[in-house]
Amino acid sequence: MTGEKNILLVEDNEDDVILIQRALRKGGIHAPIHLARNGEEAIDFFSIAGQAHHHASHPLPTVVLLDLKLPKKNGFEVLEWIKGHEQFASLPVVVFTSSVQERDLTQAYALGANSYLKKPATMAETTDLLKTVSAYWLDSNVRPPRLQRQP
Amino acid sequence: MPLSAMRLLIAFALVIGAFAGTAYLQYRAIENILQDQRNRVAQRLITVELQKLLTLAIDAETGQRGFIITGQDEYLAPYYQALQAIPTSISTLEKFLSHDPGQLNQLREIERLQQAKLEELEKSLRTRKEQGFSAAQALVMTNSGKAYMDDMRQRLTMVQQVEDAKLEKRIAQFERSAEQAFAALGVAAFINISLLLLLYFLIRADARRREEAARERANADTLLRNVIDGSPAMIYLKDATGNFLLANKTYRELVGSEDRESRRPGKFLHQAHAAQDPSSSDLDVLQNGDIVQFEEEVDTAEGVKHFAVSKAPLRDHEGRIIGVCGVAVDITSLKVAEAKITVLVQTLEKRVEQRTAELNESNTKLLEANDQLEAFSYTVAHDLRAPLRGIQGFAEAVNEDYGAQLDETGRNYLQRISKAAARMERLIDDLLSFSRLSRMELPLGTVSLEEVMRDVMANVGTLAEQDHTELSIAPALPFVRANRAACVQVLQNLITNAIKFARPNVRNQIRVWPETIRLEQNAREFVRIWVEDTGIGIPATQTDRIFRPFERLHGIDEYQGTGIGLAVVDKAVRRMNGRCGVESIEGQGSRFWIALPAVRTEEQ
Repeated sequence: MTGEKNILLVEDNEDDVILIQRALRKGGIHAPIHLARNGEEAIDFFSIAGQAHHHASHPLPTVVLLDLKLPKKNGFEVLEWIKGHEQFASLPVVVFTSSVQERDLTQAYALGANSYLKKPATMAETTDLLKTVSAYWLDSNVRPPRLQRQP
Repeated sequence: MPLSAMRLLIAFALVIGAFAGTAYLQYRAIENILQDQRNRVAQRLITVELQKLLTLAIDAETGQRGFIITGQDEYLAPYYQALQAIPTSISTLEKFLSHDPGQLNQLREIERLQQAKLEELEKSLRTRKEQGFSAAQALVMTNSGKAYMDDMRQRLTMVQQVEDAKLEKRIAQFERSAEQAFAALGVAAFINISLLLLLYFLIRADARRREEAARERANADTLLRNVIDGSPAMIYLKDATGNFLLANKTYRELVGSEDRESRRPGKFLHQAHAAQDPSSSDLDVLQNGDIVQFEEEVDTAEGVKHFAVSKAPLRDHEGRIIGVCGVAVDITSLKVAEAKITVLVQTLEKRVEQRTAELNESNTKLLEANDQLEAFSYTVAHDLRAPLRGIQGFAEAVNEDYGAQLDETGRNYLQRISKAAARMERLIDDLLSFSRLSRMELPLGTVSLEEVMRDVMANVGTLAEQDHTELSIAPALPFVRANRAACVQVLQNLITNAIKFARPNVRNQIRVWPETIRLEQNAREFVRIWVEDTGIGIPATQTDRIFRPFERLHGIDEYQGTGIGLAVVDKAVRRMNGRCGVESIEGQGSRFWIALPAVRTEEQ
């Protein structure tokens, strides 16, 4: 079990990336943030992180913040891929998106999303929300033992 | 027996009775007369016989006297004659008087006197013969013979008188009964004449009735004939052997006369039921008493026609089948119409198929368009929001991180960027919720407005406290048939508006209350919820406009909003089979209402 808690942010919008990073910083969350710019990158990241040899640049994330509308492979495909691999299935995936359409909500939960959050409109709200996420998934939540790296 | 015949019979019996009675009375009268005649004759005979008896006695005496005086025998002839005739006369009188004992006694006395007289005569005759004239004369001179004669004469007169009296009495009796007989015969004659008159009138009335009945029958026959002949259907009657008893005008005109020629079965070309040619259908009717119905084609004088034929048994008054009654209705035009309808139906079916295909196509297109719209909504929701969030986020970031380095104007501009972005965000949200409301399924059920108001108050409560607002909601709100979430949205929008459009520096009093109404075009009960405020009100000219999307009556700086709230109210209420409206006086306040179908207590 790796001791360092980190976040994988899957987000294609550069503005959002900057704003989320700023909000995390403002909220005093110092866990390392890894970034995937599209669906494929996200899956690649997991593929590498799942390998027996340890890659410092690709640690297994403590929590995944997943946007749904992504280039190449969308958020649902990424979610399906993660939950479809026994090795990563128990990783908490928090959908973080601007859409609260019923269709998206239903599909995300059906694919095994652990949480579904709407991107807030203002900076202050974003900061507050991310603080809550961090407090819950990084600090309070006890991770299952199967999150061991494969030998 | 008919009443009239009975009356006649009784009248005849009375007449016969009366005549018999009259005959009896006549018989009695004639008998009476005969009896009277007999009485008179008997009396005359008695008188004659009495006279004869006296005369015989005198004759005997005369003979005696002659003999006494002369002594010659020839003078005795009358005496001997009387001696012989007297008993005969006596027995004749006995016969006549046998019924009257008094008279009979008198007769016996007369007979005795006669006897005594005759003895006296004989004695004097004997004396003359034996002793001579003087002795006989002395004997006569005793006057005993004269006394006998006087007594006898007196008695005969008495008998005569009694008989006369009897006859007189009988004649009086006869006259009385003759009078009675006349009276009785008069009455009988009157009765007879009356009865005969009665009989005459009865017979005359009966004859008139018969004539009337015959006339009526003739009229009825004519009427029936007219009806039958006037019918557009062919009507005919045939006896059991197939001979025509009757065929109406239509039949004669279309198929031919009733003569033998028209009866050829070859006239009937075709029948809908192949198994039933006319003769077999006739047999069915004749043998089984069935009513047979079929359609047939007939070559008529006006060309081939279709007929709906119905054949029924013809029965006599005892119910025996004696023939067939046929009615054939011309259904040619119906057949033609039917054919036309069939063609029309086929055309229609084709058209319906075509339209259905078109509809399906347009439906598919519509579904595609809907999908596109949803995709568009998604894009709006996601793609438009993302840059907006960027604008808001970075404006905030600049303000926070570099605000100190900006002057007042710069910070003001930054604020305006934030505000504009926030407004755009609301606009997008409202637009999305409005379009979602149009497309979304709205399942209806029983909704407690009480609970709806609780939800609404939870959402707007703080807003109400901020402004100078006084909100009062009627207790015990009823149940309606609606969608709960939509109800919350609608009432929330109305109450939010009521709070928002307050007059500056005036305490805004908002009241919410229900009432039960029936909309005029619909008998169903509705619950109307009023939301009343004392706010700025709406100009009368604008009340229609405000329910349209994106209609605003005020500048964005005066009253915030996207102009979608009332459009949502209108759309949602309509989709729940309800109505909404507003009454307002500008500057004094507005009263918005929504009406939703009521739910009766037992349905809750």
